[in-house]
Amino acid sequence: MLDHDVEQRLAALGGRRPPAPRGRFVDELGERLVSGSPVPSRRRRVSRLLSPVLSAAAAVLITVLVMSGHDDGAQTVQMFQTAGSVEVVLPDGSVVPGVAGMTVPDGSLIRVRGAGHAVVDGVIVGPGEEAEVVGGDVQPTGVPEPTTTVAPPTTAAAPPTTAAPVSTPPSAAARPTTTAAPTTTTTTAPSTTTTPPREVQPMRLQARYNDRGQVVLRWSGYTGPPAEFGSYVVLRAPAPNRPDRPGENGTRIVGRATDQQRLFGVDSPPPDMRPVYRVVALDPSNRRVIASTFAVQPDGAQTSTQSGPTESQPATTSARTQTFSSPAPSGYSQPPTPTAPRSPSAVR
Amino acid sequence: MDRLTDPVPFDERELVERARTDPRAFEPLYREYVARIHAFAWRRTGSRQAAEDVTSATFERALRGLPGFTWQGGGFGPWLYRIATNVLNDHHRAEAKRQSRRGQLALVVSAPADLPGPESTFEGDDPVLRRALGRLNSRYQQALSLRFLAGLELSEAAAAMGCSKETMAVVVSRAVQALRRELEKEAVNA
Repeated sequence: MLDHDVEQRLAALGGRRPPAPRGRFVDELGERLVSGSPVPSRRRRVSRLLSPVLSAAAAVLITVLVMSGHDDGAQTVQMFQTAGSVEVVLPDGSVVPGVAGMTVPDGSLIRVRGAGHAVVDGVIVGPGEEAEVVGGDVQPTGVPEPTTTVAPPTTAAAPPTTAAPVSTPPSAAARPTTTAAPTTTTTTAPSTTTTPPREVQPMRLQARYNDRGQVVLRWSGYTGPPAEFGSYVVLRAPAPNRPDRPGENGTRIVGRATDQQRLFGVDSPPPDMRPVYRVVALDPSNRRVIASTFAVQPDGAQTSTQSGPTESQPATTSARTQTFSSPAPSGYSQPPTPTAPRSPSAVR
Repeated sequence: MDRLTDPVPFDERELVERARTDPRAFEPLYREYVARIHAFAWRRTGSRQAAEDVTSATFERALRGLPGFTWQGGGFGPWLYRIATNVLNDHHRAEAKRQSRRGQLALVVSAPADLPGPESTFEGDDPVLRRALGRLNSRYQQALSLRFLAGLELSEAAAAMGCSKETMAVVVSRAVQALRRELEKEAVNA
């Protein structure tokens, strides 16, 4: 082998053009750079959240399951990690077990049973949650409502006088919530059972069209303790409805972010929709902690907002009315007439 | 091949100056170079995911370092590629460390996220060459990457590495020899 041969091989490799970067990646990184809010990359995010033990367990599951029959050129996402019971409802209605390494086609529904989880295209689908694959994006659809995830009455909802059964081991389904912890310390002082006040600031939300016809959302963030933060969920409803609970009044989840410092997102609403947005912060058990103001995005006009307090903790987490005035806040250009978005892009 | 000498449809110098204080001015620069940096990183890592990580880190570092950027040494493009090669070196070091730890544990667990997917290869990819390149010292890797995989002219690559053209030519020549030896070693072991 001659040096010249090596140079030729290097030149040949340099002359090859790998596929262009994904549009979603380029857009998200661009938004991130301009907004000045760095977000861990997918790999770092995943590795931080998953222990090596889970990685080992997931790697064992890689072995097989070829789903080439479902990959007909449509957009797909990659399932990176799974643990526990994960199943995938394919577009044709068939149900297959979700395993790491599989390719999940567009239109599939990912279900996580029990205490398992799945990491799909960088999005974590937690215990009991569901997510659907839409346009190459993973969109969580199942956020357990607070009333359905609380512990049985004998544990979390027990009055102070019932604090005696402190030795009862908590079950997986009755994970202790952050508001119930003080009940285990005493049986005499009823005041100890009250929820400690949170130092949580109201969340504010801005929504504005960018020059690609997408809606750029920015919110002020959850200011409570990181341990009590689970994720941000971005809700969207068609005006005049107000987004509140997914599935009601046309409300749907259009994005989710598990990084507390992630304070922006991009959504591509249908061109004929006048969307109304709201961001909800959930705790690790998917209980609603605080909700942002509503951000109404009229047809190409300035953003206006209305207040929208959370129902669960009105005393400390009520939202505050915010009105954006002209000129636009820094970082935003004047919104042009919305055009058809290039591709659906959910908040990630 | 990506060229830095193509005529640019915008005033790069003006944008760079504005971007020093206004991140919004960075976006056109980012849009101009993101595909090139991404392709460069993909050729070097052989993985779409790693290429995205490297691309992200490169532009984040560039934005952070922009206030200290000077127009000496080739301009914005070579400076960006220099950052990318540094990020790639970090990436390969971390990768080597990870592989080594796995070997010691004799528990070869490859995280699924790291497995090359169907989009992680491209026509004309040369993983053997890439692996051999990854075993060279970081200076040689940097020289060959800038010269051949990024397609920079000798003067641009020299500017990116902060040395003269003559020195760069010597480094490239020695790096090619070192790479040839690595390839021959690999062929023998195979």
